[in-house]
Amino acid sequence: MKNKSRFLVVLMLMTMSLFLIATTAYADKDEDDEKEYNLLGKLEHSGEKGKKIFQIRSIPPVTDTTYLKECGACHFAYQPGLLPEKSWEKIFSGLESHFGEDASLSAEKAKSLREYAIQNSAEKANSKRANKILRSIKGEPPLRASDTPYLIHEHNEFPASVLKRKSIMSIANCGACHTTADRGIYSERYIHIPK
Amino acid sequence: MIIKTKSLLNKYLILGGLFILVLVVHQNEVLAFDKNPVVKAFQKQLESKAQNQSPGFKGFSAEEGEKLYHLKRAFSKDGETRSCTSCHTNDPTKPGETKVGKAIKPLAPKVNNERFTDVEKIEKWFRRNCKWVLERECTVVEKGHFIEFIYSI
Repeated sequence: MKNKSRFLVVLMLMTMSLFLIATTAYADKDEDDEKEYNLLGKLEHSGEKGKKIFQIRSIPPVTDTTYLKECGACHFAYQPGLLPEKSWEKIFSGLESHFGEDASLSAEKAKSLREYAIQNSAEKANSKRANKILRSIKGEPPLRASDTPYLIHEHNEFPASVLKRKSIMSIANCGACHTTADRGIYSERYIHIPK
Repeated sequence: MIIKTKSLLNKYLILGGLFILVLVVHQNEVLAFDKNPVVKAFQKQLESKAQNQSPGFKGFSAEEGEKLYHLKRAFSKDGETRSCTSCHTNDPTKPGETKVGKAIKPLAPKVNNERFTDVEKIEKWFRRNCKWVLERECTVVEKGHFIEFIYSI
């Protein structure tokens, strides 16, 4: 009796681990963008050389909880990798008039968010897409990611009438169509344009 | 005999149901009107400031707060009609939406007990939203009326 139950437990553990291996392998195969990100995560410890060779395709997702909470209270919490350092500096030095609205925070909070954005700006993102954004900017960098030439170009197939749909509201609402926007993944295959 | 026990059972069921109903209603009333300690202290501060500022101050009124909540005002730059209701809807117990489509949890503490639990957050949103609607900050009296209204729902 004792032996039998021991055998059962071992059998159960074996099937469970098999399942785990199968699902992780499947996830890796299916989600290219994330795989690249995870790869980088591992490579980050192997020094500068690895960083230069392997660039991720996606924009690194936001990890700062205050950033997510404060910025995300009103709009999509744009990844700092969507804009160059200079844009973030300007944005965080003018929160009292943030695109026509008062988004003021305590000096302390504004400072820490500004630092977070600058430390993770497009220049630091080590991402192919962030580099495309950077390379497209000529002259003074804009304050909205949607005003960078690369993003304008990527969205120009959509007429204003699509972007103004009640389900989308505006080009600023990334997550309306990019179903994986909060993970920094803007691949075409994860786009779903709502009616 | 069978019928008798059945009706007796029904009686207990009805009585039990009524008891639970009364409990629930009572609980809701308590939740709707009971301010948390943070907002209570905040309201007290507003009250003493209001008394200092205007000797004729007669206390905060939910009715005045309701007027403020529904007040519609044309924005000076483009004439756009702005109101608390623009984002929070006519019913503060319902979820709202920002201008760019971000969901806003209900404002009424009755249905969202996270509301009015952090003074910094309360002041931040009064500052921002009063400026958005009125193009100026709200007075202590207006803030007090508003809180009175939101807790009267």
